[in-house]
Amino acid sequence: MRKLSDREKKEIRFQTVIEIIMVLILVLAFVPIFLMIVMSFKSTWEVFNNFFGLPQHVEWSNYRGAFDYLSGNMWNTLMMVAVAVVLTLVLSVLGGYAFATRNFPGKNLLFAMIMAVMMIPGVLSLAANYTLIIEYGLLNSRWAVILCWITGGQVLGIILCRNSIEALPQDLFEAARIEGCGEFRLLLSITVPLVKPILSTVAVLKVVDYYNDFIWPMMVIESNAKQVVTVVLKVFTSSQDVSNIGIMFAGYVIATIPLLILFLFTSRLYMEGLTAGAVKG
Amino acid sequence: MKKKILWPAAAALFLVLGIAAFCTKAFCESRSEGIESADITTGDMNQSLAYDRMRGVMYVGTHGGVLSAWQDDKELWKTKTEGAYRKLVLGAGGDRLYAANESNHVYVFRTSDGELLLDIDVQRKAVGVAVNADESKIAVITNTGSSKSNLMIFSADGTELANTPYTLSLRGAEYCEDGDTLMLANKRGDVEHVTESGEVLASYGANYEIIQMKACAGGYWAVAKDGSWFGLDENLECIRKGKIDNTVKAKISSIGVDTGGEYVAVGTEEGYLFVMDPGGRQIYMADMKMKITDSASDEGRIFLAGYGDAVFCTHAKNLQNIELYQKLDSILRTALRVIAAAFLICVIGSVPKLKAASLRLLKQMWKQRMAYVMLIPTFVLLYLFSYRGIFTALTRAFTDWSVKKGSVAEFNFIGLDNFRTMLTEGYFLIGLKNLLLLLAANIVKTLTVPMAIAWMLFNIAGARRKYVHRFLFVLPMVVPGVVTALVWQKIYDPSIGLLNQILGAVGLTSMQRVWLGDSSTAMGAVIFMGFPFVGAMALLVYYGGLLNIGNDVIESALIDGGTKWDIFWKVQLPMIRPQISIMMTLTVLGAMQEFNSIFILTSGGPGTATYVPALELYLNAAQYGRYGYASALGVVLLVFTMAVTLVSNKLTKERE
Repeated sequence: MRKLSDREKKEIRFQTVIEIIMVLILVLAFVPIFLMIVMSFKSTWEVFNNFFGLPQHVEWSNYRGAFDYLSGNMWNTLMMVAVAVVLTLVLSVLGGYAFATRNFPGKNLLFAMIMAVMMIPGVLSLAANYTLIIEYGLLNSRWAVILCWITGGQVLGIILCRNSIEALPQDLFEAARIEGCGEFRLLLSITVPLVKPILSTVAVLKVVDYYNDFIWPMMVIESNAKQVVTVVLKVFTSSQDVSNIGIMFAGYVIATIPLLILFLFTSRLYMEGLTAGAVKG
Repeated sequence: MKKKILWPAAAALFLVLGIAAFCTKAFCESRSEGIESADITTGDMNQSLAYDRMRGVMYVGTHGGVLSAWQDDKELWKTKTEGAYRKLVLGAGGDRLYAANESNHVYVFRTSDGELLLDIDVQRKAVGVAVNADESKIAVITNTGSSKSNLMIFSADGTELANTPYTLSLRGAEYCEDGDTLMLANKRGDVEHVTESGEVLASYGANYEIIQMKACAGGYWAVAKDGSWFGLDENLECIRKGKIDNTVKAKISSIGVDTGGEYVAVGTEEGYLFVMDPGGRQIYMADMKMKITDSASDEGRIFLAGYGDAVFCTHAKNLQNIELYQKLDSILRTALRVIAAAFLICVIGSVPKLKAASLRLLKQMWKQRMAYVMLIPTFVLLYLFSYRGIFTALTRAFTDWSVKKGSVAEFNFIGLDNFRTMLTEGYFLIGLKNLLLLLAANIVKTLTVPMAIAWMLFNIAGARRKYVHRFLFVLPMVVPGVVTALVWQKIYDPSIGLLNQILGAVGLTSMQRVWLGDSSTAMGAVIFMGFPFVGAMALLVYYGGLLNIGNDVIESALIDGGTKWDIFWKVQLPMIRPQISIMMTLTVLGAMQEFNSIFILTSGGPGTATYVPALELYLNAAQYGRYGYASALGVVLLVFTMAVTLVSNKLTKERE
């Protein structure tokens, strides 16, 4: 057996040390998640009397209780997010296409007006938008939330779509136009398939964004049946509190599952999307 | 030749039309003002009103025992005592104000300066007071329990002249013109003409419990529990009567009439206001959102006190045609826009050069019409849900816009008062201090742990290991922010919280705290949330930055004998500066706007320990209804974010 050189020894030592540090940080980072999952399987008695141990008796009824409470809002939220994401994608591709392939008077001004929205903090117009929602008669309507989501959400989508459509060979569009291809067909059957990757990135990013929204739905939706799951979780927590800790944690786990599934299937897009969003934004 | 003059002529015509429309609109706008808020703020719940029409002075008595005199928005004087002021009556001479107070007193004040002239101890809850024309006698009605009342007569110096007990509660007493007999309304539904000793001379029977009776407009006006109202003259002849069109099943609380006795207003406990015209037709109904407790008459106007800090003024005459004027107003607004556009077109048309240029532009725009069509939905949404809100916030940050003063006609321009409030009210400054603390903490958080992990990920051997580690580090991010905050709230829970349980398990019981409920630890707990601070986004951005550095750079450094440690500080860190500056900017911007987790963890408490400006903004917008102030806070945050963005842009540019 060959003897290891000093440098190799050093490298192995280094690898071991960083592996240990990383595992340590990982364990700490997962503590709240473990806590959430373990607690969700415990009865209230066990929470108080067997805090650190694993659940001795798995309380599936916690999940049944939480699901009964949350399923309606879960479904509602998923539908709202789905509608909003689809509309966001439509607007992103339309806007991105117009800016990328057309040279129209006022183009730069209009694009700057879109970019400006990103520069202005949303809280500035919180009160004003709330009164506008009342003026439009949208208070306590799902559209109050969906329309505001897509208004803000389309901005990043348009920017990303514009960049990736501009990167496509422009003669492609010229050729298609010369052959008499209509603008909308050109958009639907040529452009959309080519920018699918960026569209999926936008979709994943926006699902996460919309699903996480809390303050705005809390302000404009009053009826419990139309409320999104994040707000309901907060209400749910205050109403359960000490009496049923397990059900509360089961509710948290249930609310996490949709994003977990999304992440497991699209982790690469998810990670790329995050960085793209950060750098472009 | 003819054509040349056509355009300017049309422009002139549209200009004249525009001016005419503008004037008509201004007229309609003034007439479409139905109810406005009088600029009176007592800081308490208003319960009684008296108005001196000659001098234009309004007297307001409140539930908390504050009595104040107002001339427009100027407070002339103010006195404070205990007990609610139930009724205020201005003497015929106008220099004395008689006030019935629930804490067993009737006070007489001098109206010019609020000096107390007479204090009559009536030994029961005084709920009503009346004075005869020469101010020689004061009649007081009092309540004891729910069904006993007394009618007491005092002389001008406070000597008791008569005291008649009743076994049903009295709802109003007013002196008749002769100065000796009175009109008395009771719960049974009668209005009786009585002598001072209580002998009934005549009576008028309403069918329902009378809620309030007042003397105004030369008659005695009363409203009954079922919403019917009537006005009686000296001989108990009914001059007018009617009933509110009540579809909301409201509980009646008060009645008011203008001085002409033409318009009648009826208020309810829920805050609904009904206004009837001279023909008895109900012309207006509105929800004032607070119990209407009392009224005062004026020429064509009725003042109303709201059981909240509000005095309203109802322009009864305007209400008659308010819908028509409002409709006209909105039609004219559209018309004005059309005329303005037409005027502009005609002006452009009159200048040949401009005409040619704009025609060229139009042609080009027409050629590219598809692009505009594609952008229509985007800009419609942006206009409705973004630009309008931003514009409204920027302009109304300088007004006292609020829930109560909701329409443009009601709120006032107050200059920089909102910004002054931030400095004087205290919450904003406390929030700012907390925000700076959070900012510092967040900057440290994004700079350290994610950077360390990114560097370790970069250095770890094996593509698969790299991927798996990265995946695991990003995975916790799938937990929704609200859930994370809620779980951390549970971690800090005093009894079943992980933190206290661990401290208990290792024997450090003395260190256990009510982490979020103790103002000395709350801020620390908020900052500590999310430990060990693996910011997934920062991590990915730094990692991407490290990967972008060419391998040759690092290899050459290695050959030069540098350790990994040296390379990080001397090569890698300087080269990912752009990524660091992006993350810094995002962190600062995020920290200024974000208040979700604080809202969930502590709602700013305990006290103001974890207050931040964004939370204050939210509370003012959503809970206190101080929209103008919330917008002003938004403007300040906007200025901060703009400054941060500009500085960071400048720094990155300088480096490049």
